[in-house]
Amino acid sequence: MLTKITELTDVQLLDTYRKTKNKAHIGELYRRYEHLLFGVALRQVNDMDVAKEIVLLSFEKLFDDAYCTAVEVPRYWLLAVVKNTAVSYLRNPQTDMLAQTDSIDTEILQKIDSSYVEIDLEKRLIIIDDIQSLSTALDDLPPLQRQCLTLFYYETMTYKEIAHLLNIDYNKVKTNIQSGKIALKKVLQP
Amino acid sequence: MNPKKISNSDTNSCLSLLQIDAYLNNELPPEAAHAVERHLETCALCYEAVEGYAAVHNKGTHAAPHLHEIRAAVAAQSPDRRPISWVWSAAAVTVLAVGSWFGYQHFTANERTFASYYKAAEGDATMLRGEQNSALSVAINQYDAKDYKESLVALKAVIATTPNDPQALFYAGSAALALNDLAEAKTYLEQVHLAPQSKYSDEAVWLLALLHVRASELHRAREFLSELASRDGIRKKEASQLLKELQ
Repeated sequence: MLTKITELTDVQLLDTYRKTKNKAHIGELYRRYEHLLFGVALRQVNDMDVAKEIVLLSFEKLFDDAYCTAVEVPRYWLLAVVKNTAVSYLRNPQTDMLAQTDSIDTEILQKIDSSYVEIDLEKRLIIIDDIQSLSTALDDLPPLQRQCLTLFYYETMTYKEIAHLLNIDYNKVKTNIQSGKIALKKVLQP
Repeated sequence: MNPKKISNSDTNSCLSLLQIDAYLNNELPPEAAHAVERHLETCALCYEAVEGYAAVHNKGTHAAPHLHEIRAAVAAQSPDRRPISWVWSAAAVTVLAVGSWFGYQHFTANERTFASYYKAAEGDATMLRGEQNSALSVAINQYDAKDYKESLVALKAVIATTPNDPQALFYAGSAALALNDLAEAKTYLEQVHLAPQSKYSDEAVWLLALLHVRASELHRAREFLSELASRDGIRKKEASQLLKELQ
């Protein structure tokens, strides 16, 4: 029996498109994340109309880009394409972005890749066996980073609660968690 | 060309617009807010999206019309399976899901409750094997393709000739609800509810309950939910949960 397109995984959708060139599969993949991709574009350009254009241009690029980028997680590929399109626009708003045939920017991929590594770090933060090495590594962090990480991961407090408790800015909490994670990654990575 | 490699697992637990909306509006309880933030710490896509929406959160600008235009354009670009009317079929849910800061300032708690529970019923065209050319089969296939507008037209034609067909009545009601036509949805779904028990009865009652939540007719919604909660049907658990929320 044929599987409904809506029941296919992201990877299956991309694989099927590559085999059949049926654009509906890219359409379905895109539909699942379009609200997030619009948010990504908004972050880049801070303008609703421009963000919409970037999202639409990105969508058109996918059909060709699907053949030249090895993708394990399709939603991160979508993210990279939108960011790449936005960066191109910001560099030169007059450029015909559709005419660009380059596949996604290496620099952008590297940045996204670095966030993947943090997933492993997060898993490690909650593994009991690593408590000792984590504890040592945490002790070496600047006090504010250590406090933010501990309150967020071990006390399960929200950014807002941490900001209130430590009497610091909300964004500073996020920055300290990110910086703390990066610092821990350097220490804990084999 | 050597393809560049993007790695990670294929897990999809990304945030919905409803979650992002509630999170940015500080409407989530601490546990749920923390769960969102834990996800943001591990998902680059959601992290960047939330940052983007947060940047325009207090500007009074409206994202919903842009999202609708994006949907329309994307649907037009991938027409093999998703006809353009797919855009409008999803519009009711989208409009509710995009939340207050996108420009829809008047959505109530009931409308949000509706959006969090509502999902268009699945089509069951596979039940119609051997009748591939029947009008009902065509209509259900259109429904299954989420082309609710065309499906509703076709279903009305079927109902004109077989007015008591529970399958046609049910999908007409469900299609109307997907199109945000509450009055028409109610008409068809109540006919399924009043007809002899069929495989569509429970689903019809469930949609009726949600429809009344959407219309802020909570007394009536509770009646339908109580009916579902009192029998061992497929919606017993959800009905009981929603009933609790409404009390």
